[in-house]
Amino acid sequence: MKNITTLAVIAISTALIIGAGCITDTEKNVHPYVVIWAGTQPADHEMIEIELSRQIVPYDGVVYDNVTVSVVEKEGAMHLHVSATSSACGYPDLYDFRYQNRELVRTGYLLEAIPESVRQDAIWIAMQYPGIADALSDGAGMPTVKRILPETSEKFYAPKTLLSVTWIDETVSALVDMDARMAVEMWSGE
Amino acid sequence: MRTTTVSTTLVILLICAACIPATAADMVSERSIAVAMPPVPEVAMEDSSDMDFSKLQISPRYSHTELMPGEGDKVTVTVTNKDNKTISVAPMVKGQPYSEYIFDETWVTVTPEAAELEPDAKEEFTIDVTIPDGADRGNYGVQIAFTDDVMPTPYPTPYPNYINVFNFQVSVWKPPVIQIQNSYIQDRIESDREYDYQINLKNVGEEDIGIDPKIGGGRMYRHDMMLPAFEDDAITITAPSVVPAGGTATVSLHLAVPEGAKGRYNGDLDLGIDDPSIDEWMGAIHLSFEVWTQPREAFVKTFTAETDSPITIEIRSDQGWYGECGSGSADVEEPYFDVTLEGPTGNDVTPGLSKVAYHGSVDLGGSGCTPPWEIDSSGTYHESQTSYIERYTVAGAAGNWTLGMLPHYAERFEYTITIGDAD
Repeated sequence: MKNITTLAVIAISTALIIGAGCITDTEKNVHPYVVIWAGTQPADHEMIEIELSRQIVPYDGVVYDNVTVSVVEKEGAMHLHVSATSSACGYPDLYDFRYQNRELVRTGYLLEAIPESVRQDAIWIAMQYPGIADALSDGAGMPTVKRILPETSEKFYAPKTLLSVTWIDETVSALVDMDARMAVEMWSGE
Repeated sequence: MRTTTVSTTLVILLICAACIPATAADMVSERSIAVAMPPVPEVAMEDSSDMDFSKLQISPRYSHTELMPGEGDKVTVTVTNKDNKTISVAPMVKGQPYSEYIFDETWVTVTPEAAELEPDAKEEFTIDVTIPDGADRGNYGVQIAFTDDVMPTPYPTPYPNYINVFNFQVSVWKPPVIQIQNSYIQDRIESDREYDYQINLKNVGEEDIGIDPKIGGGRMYRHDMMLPAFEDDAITITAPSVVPAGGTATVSLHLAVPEGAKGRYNGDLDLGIDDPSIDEWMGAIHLSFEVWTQPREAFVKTFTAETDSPITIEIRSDQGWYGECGSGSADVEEPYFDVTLEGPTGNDVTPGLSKVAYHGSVDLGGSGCTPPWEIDSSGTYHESQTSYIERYTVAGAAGNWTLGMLPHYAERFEYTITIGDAD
């Protein structure tokens, strides 16, 4: 009887431990990627990670594999530089945040984690824009392709994710709507 | 009064003087040349002010839309009677002359079918266009003539020129079922070397698509007096004849750059995609190659040292400066130099590499080099110019020196020879 009681206690304890572990795991795994803190983790890093997961969103169809966060403390606030990478993309998404009073505010972004096929498609679409093809010289190099978030796109076209295809050598850029498969704006340095 | 009489006389005299030589010339011409000229028919041009046609104001006069097969669109045209009589308006659908594709009149309906317009009255007509599923991609034109008034012409014309007409252009397009990656190939290459490139095609349609890639069309890129670095036959293409439905295919290009090739090559690889939804331009891959010719002999500079002070030689190579916002290609090989030095006694001196430096100029964005929609991005670093610097130092000796500099992967370079203290 004593053995049965002992076994029961062990079983219940094990179940509780496993259960607790699962609950903790569920809370932590709100995102599918690995978070790497470069340098010392802040005390409330878990809270920051949860908040980050709400604010860093990859390009449609892309899943981040790794998210590296580096922190600089300045003037009473934490400044986070976040690099999010995906094996499906050749370039990272970069985000800058300020964390103060438990509030994470995005201060900048540079989003180039875009699948290569989409990048090439965007370049091709941009080159259909009559002014783009005319503006590019024979020696035009490979353009950059950056994701433009809806709040920025709204100022130029519509509140939706767009891609910016830029030949900086040529001072030429096109804002591309991948849904409509067309360039909606062109910039030539003016 | 007297002045008026004199002036009149002078005018008459001037007119007569002008007429006499002209008449004489005509007489000479009539005598020396006898050409039977066919009688010129007199064309009775109608005075437009007397033309009888209904004066309608049509707004808009022209419209254009883009539709896919199976899609439709509606346009409202307002017709106002600007005449002083009642006009019977009965819209007629007429094919547009010289249109790329013939617009089938059954694709368009106009409502109302007729209207009686009193002077200054207006009527809104709805033009409803539906493109059938099987329509070919292309530009179609149609006219809606609201009356049968036509522009009179002194000669027969193949098409009547309707006066009270609305012109409607429809560009029928289809999304391509072939996806192409990449749309161009650009590379810096060297002579007497071979390169391989691949273009991936994906067929997202439900039927196999034939392809027949061929090199051609490069002449339009070539400037007069500038021959291409090599001929089209330097490029060999290997490709399947079809891209299977739902599958992929790879077009391989093998480029064997001829020995001694110099300059640039620009051309097109026409994929020959048998898909009417892809026009010629879309189905072409632009090829741009620059033959990178490196010198094989060193650049030689002789100089004289007046003292035995140490000699410092600094060589600097700048890369990429193609414009205000320019930068070079990221794929360029790192430059380096082979340096030789011959001293006053004719002996070779091995210069010691005392410093290597990399220099860059980085723009932080937000300047005129950033598109307005990228201003919100942070960290938009742009390296506009890079330099590579090598510094050599040797023990000095008075006399004549010969410096040889053979660059590798350098577009240009500068050198500085310092005799004495270098900074």
